[in-house]
Amino acid sequence: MKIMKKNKLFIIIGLCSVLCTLYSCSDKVYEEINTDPTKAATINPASQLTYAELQIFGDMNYVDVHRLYTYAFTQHLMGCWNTTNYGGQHRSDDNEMARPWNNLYPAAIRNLTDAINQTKDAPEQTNVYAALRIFRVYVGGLLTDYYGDVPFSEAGLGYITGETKPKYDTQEELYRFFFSELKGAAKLFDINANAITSDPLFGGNINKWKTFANSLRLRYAMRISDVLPDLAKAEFLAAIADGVMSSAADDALVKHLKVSYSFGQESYKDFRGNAMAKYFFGNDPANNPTYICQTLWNQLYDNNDPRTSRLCRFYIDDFMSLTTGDGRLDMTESVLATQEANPGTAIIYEIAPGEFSWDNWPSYTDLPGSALANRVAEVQAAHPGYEPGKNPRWLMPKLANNFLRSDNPGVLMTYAEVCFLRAEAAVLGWTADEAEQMYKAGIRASMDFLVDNYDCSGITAAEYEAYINQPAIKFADDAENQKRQINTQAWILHFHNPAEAWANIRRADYPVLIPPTGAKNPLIDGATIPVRLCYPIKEETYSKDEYQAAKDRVANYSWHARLWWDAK
Amino acid sequence: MKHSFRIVACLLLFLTGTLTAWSQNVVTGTVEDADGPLIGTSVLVKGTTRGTITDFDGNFTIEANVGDELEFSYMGYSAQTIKVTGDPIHVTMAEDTEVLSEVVVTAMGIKRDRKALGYEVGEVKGDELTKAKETNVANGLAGRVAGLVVEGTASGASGSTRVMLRGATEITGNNQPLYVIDGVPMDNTSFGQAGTEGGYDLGDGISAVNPDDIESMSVLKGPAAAALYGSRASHGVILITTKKANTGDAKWGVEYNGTLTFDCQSSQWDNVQQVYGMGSDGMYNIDAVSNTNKSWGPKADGGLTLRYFDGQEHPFLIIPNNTANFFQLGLTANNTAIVSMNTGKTGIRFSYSDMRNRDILPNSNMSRNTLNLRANTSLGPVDLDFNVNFVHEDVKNRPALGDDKSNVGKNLMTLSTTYDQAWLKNYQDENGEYQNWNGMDPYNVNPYWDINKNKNQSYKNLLRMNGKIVYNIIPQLKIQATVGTEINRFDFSDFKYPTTPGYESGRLQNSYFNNRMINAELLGIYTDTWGDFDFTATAGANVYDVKNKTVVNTGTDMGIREVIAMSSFEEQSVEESTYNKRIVSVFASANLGWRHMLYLDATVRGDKSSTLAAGKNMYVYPSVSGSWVFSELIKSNRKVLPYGKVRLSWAEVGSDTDPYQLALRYTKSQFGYSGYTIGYVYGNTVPNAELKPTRTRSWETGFETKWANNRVSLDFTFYHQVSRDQIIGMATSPTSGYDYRMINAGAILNQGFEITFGARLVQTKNFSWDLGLNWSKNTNKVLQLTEGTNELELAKATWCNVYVAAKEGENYGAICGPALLRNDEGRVIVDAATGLPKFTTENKVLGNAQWNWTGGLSTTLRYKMVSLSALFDIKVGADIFSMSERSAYETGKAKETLVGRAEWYASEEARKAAGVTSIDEWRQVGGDKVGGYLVNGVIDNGDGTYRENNIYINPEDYWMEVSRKSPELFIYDNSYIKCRELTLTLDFPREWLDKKGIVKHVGISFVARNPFIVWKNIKDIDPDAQYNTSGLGLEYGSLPSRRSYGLNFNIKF
Repeated sequence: MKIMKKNKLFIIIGLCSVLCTLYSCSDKVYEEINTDPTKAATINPASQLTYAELQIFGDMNYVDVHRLYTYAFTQHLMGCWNTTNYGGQHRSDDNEMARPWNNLYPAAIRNLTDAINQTKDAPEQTNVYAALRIFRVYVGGLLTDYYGDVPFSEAGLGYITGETKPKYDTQEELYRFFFSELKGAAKLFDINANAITSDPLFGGNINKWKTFANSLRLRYAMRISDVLPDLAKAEFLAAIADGVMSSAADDALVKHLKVSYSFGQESYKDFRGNAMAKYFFGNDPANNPTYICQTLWNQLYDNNDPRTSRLCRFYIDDFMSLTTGDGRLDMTESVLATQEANPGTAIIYEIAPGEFSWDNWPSYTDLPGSALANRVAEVQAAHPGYEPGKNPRWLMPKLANNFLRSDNPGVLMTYAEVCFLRAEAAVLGWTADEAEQMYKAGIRASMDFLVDNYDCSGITAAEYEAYINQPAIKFADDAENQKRQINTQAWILHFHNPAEAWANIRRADYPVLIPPTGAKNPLIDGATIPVRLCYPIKEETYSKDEYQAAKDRVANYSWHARLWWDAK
Repeated sequence: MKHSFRIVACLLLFLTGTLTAWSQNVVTGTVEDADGPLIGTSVLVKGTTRGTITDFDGNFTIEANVGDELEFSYMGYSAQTIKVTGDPIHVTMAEDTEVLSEVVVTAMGIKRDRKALGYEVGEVKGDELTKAKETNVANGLAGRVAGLVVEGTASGASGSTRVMLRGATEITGNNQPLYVIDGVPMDNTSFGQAGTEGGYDLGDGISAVNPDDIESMSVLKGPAAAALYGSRASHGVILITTKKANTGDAKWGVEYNGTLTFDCQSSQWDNVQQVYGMGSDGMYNIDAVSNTNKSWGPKADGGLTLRYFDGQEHPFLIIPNNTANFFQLGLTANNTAIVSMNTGKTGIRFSYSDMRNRDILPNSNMSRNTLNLRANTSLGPVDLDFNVNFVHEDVKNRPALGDDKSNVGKNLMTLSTTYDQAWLKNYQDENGEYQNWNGMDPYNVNPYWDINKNKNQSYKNLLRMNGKIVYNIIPQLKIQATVGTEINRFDFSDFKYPTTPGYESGRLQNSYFNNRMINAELLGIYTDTWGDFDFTATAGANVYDVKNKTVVNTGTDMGIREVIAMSSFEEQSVEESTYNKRIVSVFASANLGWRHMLYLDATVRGDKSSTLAAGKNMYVYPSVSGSWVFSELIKSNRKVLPYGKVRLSWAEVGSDTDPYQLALRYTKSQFGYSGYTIGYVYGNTVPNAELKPTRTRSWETGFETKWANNRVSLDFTFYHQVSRDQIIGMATSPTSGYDYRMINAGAILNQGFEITFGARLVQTKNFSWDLGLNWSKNTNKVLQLTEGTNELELAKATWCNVYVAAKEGENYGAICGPALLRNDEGRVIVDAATGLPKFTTENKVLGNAQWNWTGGLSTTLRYKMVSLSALFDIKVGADIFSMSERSAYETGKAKETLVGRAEWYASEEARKAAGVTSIDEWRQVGGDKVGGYLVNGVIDNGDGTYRENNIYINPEDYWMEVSRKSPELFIYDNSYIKCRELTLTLDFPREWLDKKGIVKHVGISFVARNPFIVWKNIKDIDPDAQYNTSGLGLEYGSLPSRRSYGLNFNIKF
């Protein structure tokens, strides 16, 4: 009897536990368990636009390609270990060349594509939808100008359609698409629809978005001017008719925030600061700063460019703070004055344009009584025991401190660039614009750009006039020299937009850059300056047929094979 | 170290002296069975370790006092106990009907006859692990069981261990076995592993188990053995049975077990050239702040003094043993006290263990306290068994591993030959900021700064509880309910002082891991016999529920430097993540035996997992196994072959995946942007709502035999296992927007042999010699991935151009990268312009990280009360990419980099003297003055022919190029034979102890862990030097591993 009772108890307990178990594994309970309580199922598409905008200059993983390759190929910078060792020595490294590919597709492209998909059928979201489409073109432009034919029309659809092997669109297809897409998207803006709520590029200003889209058409039209001149001209004119940037107020500048200099893991996920500026600061600031390439220095200094001392400074960095840009001892004025007073003596470090050497450092020439000697004495007095002459790396120009701030803007396109594009279009006879006027307006805007955005001291009208009236700068009479002058100015301007700088040099072939000889640092992969980046080798594993087809479309595929628009 | 040797030496002298001086009454006798004298019967004086065996005529002699009891035992016969009276003893042994009842613990904690099992079970006794105690008990398993491969990381005492049974069965995933403690699965989650970018090994769950609490471990290798544990057991199961107080006569027991070892570094970088010093291109630096990690400078003849970063001047001379001097003598103390009590049907056992370790890496130390309480009792038909286990672990300054900026090993190993590491003790300036010694190179941080200014610390509080109620309804039927829970709280804090290169503004990261796991099980067991048949049936249900939450707080930009607290940082950000999952299962099994000779088992289990979509989340899988004890048929031959069995099994296991793999998730950046939101799709993987469970099918066959009166045993197993439809995060082109996509794909094969051999080679009155051997060969092949994709990257060494992959048709763990370009004859092709070798533009398979075969050898020599045992671990055939070696060549530290240096420097001098500026031109006009490094290779003539390379180059350029472009030259065969353990034990004879018998046992051992490497193929590094438990095949600047010597003392009351 007792046993029976106990058995009953067990049976009841058993039944109860079976019931509980069954409930605990019902599909409804399971679904709840398998829902991540820390992540969302939807998000504001404008926040994805924000993410993409910030990536262009905020992603340390991506912008490192500029430090490694772009700035070396444009000969803006040289001497930072990464720049000289990779770009400077023409060292093709699969990992480093893959930076735009491996970082832009799974971030900007993924999120823009996803957000476009979320907004495409929502009329009230038309503004953000249009902006997303314009920005996706911008990112596509970066990719194709690095690699040539790239996946774009089918890219980023891994979740939406399950496409994991997107086809590589040809560069011609892409450029044709860019025009139609920019035109089509710009038409969608509607003042009555929902505002773009999160937009560090234009703060949701739809007029600026339109102007930006139209100005990009100018850039892309000029890019194909060698290969499809008729289309280029037509698109250029249509863009002007639709309204392009007309003052610096229209500049497409992504607003970045002031963040601390950090190269720790999470700083690679933090897109808020201008990562390029962080690299300029250097992750080994006191000894590996950003030296100005001799090519750029010669252009600025030899032409008495008022931007010379605003962009380039001579610093003793031994007392530089490791956490801020402070503490550099500025030697610039005394170096420049002494060099000027002693034209026959090499005070400033000099090497062949495009070259760099860590050996054969400059030696400090003591010229008693010179401004430099006085300044050095001053430094010694302030820092007893310090011998500035012993290690005079400061006799090489470096990038000025103003450009090391993480809240410097991310430069996508400027009014100054539009001026240079229009000047060249006028030279080509496409427009009725006055080429010289545009050229001069571009130079003026380029100078103001530094003053407005980087706290450089104002460039007076007198300085500007003196500069543009020099024989070398004064607008030439023949079209070829005009083209050279315009694009040389664009090159100086594009210091702040390295991707565009490299693309425009390849397109315009001005300024003519002389590749390093390899005498100082052996050139590893080819003697001439590379003209594209190679696809990541891994694509062969993931998307063999498409990858192979894209490579096969290029004769003698290597980073010395020109892009489609780089025909001349 | 010297000190500890002296202690051991004294002890040995003392022992041998006393042993010979002491003697006792001699008892003689004979043992026989129905057929005559019985050879090899074991005779033991009860309560002691003193014993002997009978000789060829069945005779024995043993030292014993009148009144002592002698135990006679022989496998297959009933044991007998006989009191010593002083007269010769004559014993007749009778055959046991319940023959050969070697009991092993199997799935669900059910104890079964080994002979009834249709699959292989490896066993490790707890006492094998308690003397030369490893700080992570899993490390103690190395070499002990065939097919069980153990690999530690370079992280030392606080690190985790990688255990693999019969190879990797999952293409991605950790592939580690499931640990089950007293019937409750344990959470072996590692809270962190060093990855591609470096990091720390934050330990694992198994390290919290105290070896002194372990009664035995059963290793269930294949799915057949593990089928009843379901998904989580698809990589095998290690069952841990913990000790409990025996029930029976009321008594107290107290035990103390203590081990103290001294730890020192086991491998040294000795392949260092002793000729050239710091610099580049054969030249001094203009200051001593650059090229500190390059030894491409001028000859280190002391001719010059350089002024270093701290203003000190030092002569330019080679520093011998430079790296070794950085490390200190480590110390590990392990003290365990155990109290047990039993009265009637109730037993209580309490153990407390305190482990302290001071690592060989200065300022790095840890402590671990383990409390374990086990209580068991019987109330009428109900048996109750409870266990509470609490672990507190405190680790300070774990070493950073892999490509971490703070990896001390990596940062020391390239330090120039003339740069004394001791100079770096001057690590901070007068403001307490980083002293810039090498141009703020963030990849070579001053190791003294890292160990003194930067801090990391972890606290772990782990509470594990389980309770079991068994209700014996009738003798044949019992119902058992088990509930186990594990609550694991782990806090890790990692601090970088401002001005640390790479973390200039300072950084603090606090990670809080809150893990909770519940496992509840209800099981009915029915056992009966009908005539010649034995029958057992079980049926049960199981709920497994896990709820983990992780919060990571990161502070950057340190505003107040005096206080290391999150509030001292200007910017703080938070990241949260969870891991929630539930599996509900039902299962049943039936075992049928006939005449103790034929056995048949069948199991079936159904799981329903929350990680898969409705409709796809239920999966059922069966297993069948059988065995035939053929020795039952040839009973007359018992002395030759007392035991022989063949077995065969087949099983399938289904498996689920991680939570949240079914739908897209969004999140915002952890960083705030005032007024805006930075939002994005979370993760890197395309989710997939259509996932279905993974299936692993296997079969195995083999035999078990015992020979020559059980003195020799030989077991053999062959197994074949294929996992299909694996749930994989398959790598995909980033152009899809994602780096991975979740799919069901792939097939991976594991197939191999296992052989275990054991023998008592010598047995005399006072001396015995036991030998155990195990050998296993596993082929772990990736049969298939998915349409159009033939390769999946598993791990990668950043900037070394090398990765480890699962590649179709290759063994799992292919080491890949660009190779040197070769012509058809295999000659390296040299670039005519540079004289440097050319490389392939595609990635090639350059090595494989799988062991060809592994084995273990254990041996014990016993003379009277003294025993010496050793354990060797043998692994053969796997390759490893050594970043350490690569660095040694790139930085000009390896001896082989001397080739061509003197010639190149002389050639350069001659060139400059001749006024030739171009090296190319010099190669034309320099004649026999041209010299340097000549790559052994050929130059392409462009017409299909090749000419011998004749371009002399700077050896520095050569080694820089080959180390950056291709991993080929730095992939080595990692085979080794290591002595894992050496113990010399004296068990005090009973007579030495007190007369009243209060002290029951005293034992002293000299112990050594990893005392020496018998043989290895790779220079400089330790073969066990991988940086995490999944990055097989990659060594990435490792710390030296540790070897330990010390003493163990055990006393029982």
